[in-house]
Amino acid sequence: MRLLLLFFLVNSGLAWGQSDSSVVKFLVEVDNGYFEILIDDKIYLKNYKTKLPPGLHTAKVWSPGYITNEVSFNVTAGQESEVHVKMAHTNQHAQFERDYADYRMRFHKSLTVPGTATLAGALTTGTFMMLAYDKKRTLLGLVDSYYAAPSYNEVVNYKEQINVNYKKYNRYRYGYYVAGGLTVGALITTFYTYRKFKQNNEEPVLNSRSPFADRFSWSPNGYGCTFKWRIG
Amino acid sequence: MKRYVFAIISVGLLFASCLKKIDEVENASTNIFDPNYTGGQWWVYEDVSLVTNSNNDTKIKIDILVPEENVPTLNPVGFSVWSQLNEYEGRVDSLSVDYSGDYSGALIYDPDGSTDFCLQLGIYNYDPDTIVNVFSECKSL
Repeated sequence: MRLLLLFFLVNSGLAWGQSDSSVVKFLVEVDNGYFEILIDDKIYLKNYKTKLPPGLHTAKVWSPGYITNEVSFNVTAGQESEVHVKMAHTNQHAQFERDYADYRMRFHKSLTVPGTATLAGALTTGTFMMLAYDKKRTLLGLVDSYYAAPSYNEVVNYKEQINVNYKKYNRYRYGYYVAGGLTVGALITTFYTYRKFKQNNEEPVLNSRSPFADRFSWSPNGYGCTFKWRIG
Repeated sequence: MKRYVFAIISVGLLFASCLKKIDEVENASTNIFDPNYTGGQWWVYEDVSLVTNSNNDTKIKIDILVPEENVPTLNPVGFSVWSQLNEYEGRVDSLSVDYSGDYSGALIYDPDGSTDFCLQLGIYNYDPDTIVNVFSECKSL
């Protein structure tokens, strides 16, 4: 095996190292950021750039959800080439897009919306709780002042402040209970709807098996060559 | 399912245990200067006696005491009280702190022939002119 690899390296180095290979860039119009290219049915490429000897070449370009497109292009010695490849979606992809949008919508209804309501409720509850505890601290200070007050007017003044703050405290307290109750309700709803969602829905999957799945290639470059075997 | 029920009950109990009514606030009505005072009688009718003054006039002397624990924690040097004995006209007097921390005072009246003396005593405030927390107690000579 080692001898075979050495043979490939030496042979390809001799064969391509001194050639007039030029850089070719493939500009593939896909929205998923992934594509595979098979050049001249020999070179399997998973990036956008390679070096090719001058002459006419063909490339089959595939991306998950797109129809495999075959393009021909000419490589000129010493000149960088750009190959623009337009890709068209498969019907299967269009169906997948619709199914997936529908799936996401159901997901949002089952988890995102009640989850957001739970989060908002929890934040509101927390806010009410903090305000109430802050008011409680103020009230306990006022109660101490009330017991210390050595005159009628001071006592009346402290009682007034206590009453005003106690009303606010009770408002925050009721707010805390109401928001807390709603939050617990939203939490239960979230658990319930998400559980139902998981039971009744399966995430659509796009069949993304590459047509070059079983291909392997060796790719010469200025320093030697690379040997690629498409696995999975 | 049991776990969810347990979790929900736990959360409910946790909620219920937070932010209750504040007892200290609900019960803050025992300052003797409070117009809505709900405590018990805050002064002690110590004694009623007949005394003779330097002019040899016989007077009725009512001794009253306000224990330190019934007075606000920021102890005043003294405070004003309104008192009325039997059918005598009501009047304003002062009680001042003594060496023990209690507040004591003596109310002097001319005798009216009675042997039973019912005293009404309350806190007096000058501005606004107010009498609050009046309690009454009777004693006999």
